[in-house]
Amino acid sequence: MWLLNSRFWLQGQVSVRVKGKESERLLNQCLARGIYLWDVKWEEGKLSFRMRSRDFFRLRPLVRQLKVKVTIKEKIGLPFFWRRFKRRRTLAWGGVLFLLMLYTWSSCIWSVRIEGANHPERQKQLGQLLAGQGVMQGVLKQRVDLRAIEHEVLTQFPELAWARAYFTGTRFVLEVVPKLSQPQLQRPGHLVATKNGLIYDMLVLAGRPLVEKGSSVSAGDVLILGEQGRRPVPAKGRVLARVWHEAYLEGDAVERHLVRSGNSVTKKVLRLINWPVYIGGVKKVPFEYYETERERKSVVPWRNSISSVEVIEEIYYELKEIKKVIPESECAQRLLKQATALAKQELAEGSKIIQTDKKILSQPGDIPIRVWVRIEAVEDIARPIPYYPRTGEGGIGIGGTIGEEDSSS
Amino acid sequence: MKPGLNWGRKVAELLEIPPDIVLDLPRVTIVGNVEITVENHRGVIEYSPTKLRLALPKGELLVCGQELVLVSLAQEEVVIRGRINRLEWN
Repeated sequence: MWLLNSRFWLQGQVSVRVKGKESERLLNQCLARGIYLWDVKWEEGKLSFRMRSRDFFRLRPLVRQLKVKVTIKEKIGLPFFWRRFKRRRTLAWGGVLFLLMLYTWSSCIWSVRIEGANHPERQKQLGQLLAGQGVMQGVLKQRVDLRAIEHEVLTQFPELAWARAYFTGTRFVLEVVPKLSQPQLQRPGHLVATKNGLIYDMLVLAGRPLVEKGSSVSAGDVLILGEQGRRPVPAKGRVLARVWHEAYLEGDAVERHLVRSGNSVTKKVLRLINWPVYIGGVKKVPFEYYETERERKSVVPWRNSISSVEVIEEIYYELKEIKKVIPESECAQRLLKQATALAKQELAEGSKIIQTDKKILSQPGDIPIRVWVRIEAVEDIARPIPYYPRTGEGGIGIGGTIGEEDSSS
Repeated sequence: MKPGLNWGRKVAELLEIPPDIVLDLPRVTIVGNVEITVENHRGVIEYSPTKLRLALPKGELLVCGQELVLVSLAQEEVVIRGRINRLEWN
């Protein structure tokens, strides 16, 4: 019934109250004329029912005939709603505008995120690539070809193993996974540590491990010896270690920046092919700091192409330094942020941050404010070096002599 | 009972046609004591919250109860809702 009546909501319906002795006869007359009624009930001693609004006018002859009084109690439905709405046009437009804005804004990119690239440099490069592909704030989502971007990322960065671009709501996310495998040694060689750290986990594929889980190593230590039994082999494996990157920064709680002071001078130069000829204004800029704006005026305006004669007007704006004292806590937060970024720069590709310690070293009131950040990360610290270092081809002589001894014996 | 009606009933039974179609009888559907649907009625004779008399092709149907509401009133069928106590064919 509700479903049926909702149809009449669209057409418009009226709730009617009948007063008079022969109310029931009105019902019968309506039936005979095919006027559909529903929700017929007695309310406070009066008959009330609902009907389609366009049927209401067919009620008039019946009402006269039966001498009953009919009053409209309520007007329900879309046509009445619409009529009321039309009177409040501004509201209607507001609603329409709201929906439109919601739709258009939700189909734009609001933020871009790159996941999986720990290295700030890589992150920056990927960001530039995305910008080049037209992924930036305010761009319509439709315009972005996700598959093409993935393809482009993988071709431009061969060191990435996998890339995926997608949208979550209004956010564009690019996920990348760097290739983990190191360039494997073909010739016999060792794996040595690139950094100081604590061995976290290791997987030996070939060679003899010299360290084990939990042992601490310093940069240059041999991790896996390129030796199987007595035979030299290329050492293979992954050595994950916990490494620490620290950064220290200090700064004042004073922010300096340059703004235009309002003073400016102009210099006019006439350029004849390649000779600049001074024609007016100041000769030398009287300011210590300044910004320059250059305006070219073609002497022969109807010739759009590069004319050989033009007047160059240079305007110099004086800049003055403004010092702003910022709250100490805010300054400390900023420094911490910078220090974290600094520490992150040392992270190797594919490393995983375990813990970040941040400390403000200075006491409140100290100048300058000093902060310290330490990032603890797990990364692959193994780096292959050849067993027999050839001349002119880098590599430290670790184990080289042992190898020669081995081969000679 | 008239012979015509008898004949009609026999034909309906023989051909397994519902008798309401052949004999112009009302079809009354009752849902518990809550709702009654009457098809093929001839209008409302009397209506009050406790009593409803419906005209049928032959005779009338009396519905007694409380808070009777005509949920739908059309030429083909009437739907009555409320607490129904009694039904009577007259």
